[in-house]
Amino acid sequence: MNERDGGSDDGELIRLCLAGDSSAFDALVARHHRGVYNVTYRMLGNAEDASDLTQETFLRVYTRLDTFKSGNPFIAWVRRIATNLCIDHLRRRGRPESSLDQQIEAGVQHADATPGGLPAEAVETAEDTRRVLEAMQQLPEKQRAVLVLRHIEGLKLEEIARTLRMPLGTVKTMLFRGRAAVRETVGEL
Amino acid sequence: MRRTAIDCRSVREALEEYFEEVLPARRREQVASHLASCPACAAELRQIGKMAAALEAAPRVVPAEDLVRLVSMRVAELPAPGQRRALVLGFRRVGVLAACLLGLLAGVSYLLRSVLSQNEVLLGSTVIWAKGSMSQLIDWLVAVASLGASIWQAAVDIGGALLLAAKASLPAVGLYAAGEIGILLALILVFHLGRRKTLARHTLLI
Repeated sequence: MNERDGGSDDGELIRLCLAGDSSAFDALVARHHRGVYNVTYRMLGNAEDASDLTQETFLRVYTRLDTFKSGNPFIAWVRRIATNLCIDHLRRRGRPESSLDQQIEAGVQHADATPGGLPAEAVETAEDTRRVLEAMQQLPEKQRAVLVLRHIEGLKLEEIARTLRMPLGTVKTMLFRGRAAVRETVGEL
Repeated sequence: MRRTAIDCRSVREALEEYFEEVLPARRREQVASHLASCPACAAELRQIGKMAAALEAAPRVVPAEDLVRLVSMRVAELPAPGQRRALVLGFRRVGVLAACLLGLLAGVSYLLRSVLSQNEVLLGSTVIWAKGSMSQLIDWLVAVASLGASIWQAAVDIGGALLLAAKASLPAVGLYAAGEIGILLALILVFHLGRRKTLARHTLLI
């Protein structure tokens, strides 16, 4: 982990990177890679693709760093690149079957149980999460992206519209249709 | 109070927006009032909430420990931000400028030669002098234009020969159909290649 990580904000690190300091970009990656990985993993459903697309995201960020408009949130720009890369990847790949990673993850969730087992309510919530995540993998790319940004990243609708460069009305349509499709797949929770 | 099916249908259409708190105030009050007395619609709203909560409860996933190191290694192989793009754009601009200049020179030279040859007698000694001074340049430029015309003529001849050969071996209807299918396949190929190139730009630029 780079020593600069705690001292400089993103803007300062970007300035240093553009001035030729490669360690500044390493610090940016260290700061944001977990957030980006979370987005790509939830979009793609498996660790291998998520790792590849996370790397591609930061490589693209690096090559285009001179085009980033200072004053805008850096993470929003990075998130947009990651989401668009995932959408393109999903279009090329098509929709996969239920991800083995998600089944394993479900197992890991249960493995985190406290001695004596998880409370029944927690087990039920974990099972609901697993079913909903699995259903989300069957959504069209843009609906999936909006759901990930809304419910997993916690963005507001206006932030999603700015991130994806989509009209607010379209974001709402994608979100509502996506949720309806997931509920139809999952049934009653 | 008796609730009609229309009321429930209208409310259910608004439930997603109600959940997101983006309904206008008056409409929100109407929906809230209906939900207070309609167990079915209230249950539907709870399902929306449960689904959202289930997604929000998804645990944060942790990447492999070497992800940052891998990115750092790959970044080290790249040119500085913007450098490659500037180089490509530079070459493109030079190429476009050179093509424009050549085209302009060829066109001007052809026009000039035509004008001079037509007006040589009328303009007398001045034209003779001008033509004499620039004759080598004009001849060179016209040679370039003639070469281009020759290449174009050769392409037309070859294309014509292919068409004649195709016409001899295929019935007329088949020839037209084959031509249309060929054009369609060519368009699909160009679209596919262009799309692949666009997608490739989304990946690493090395």
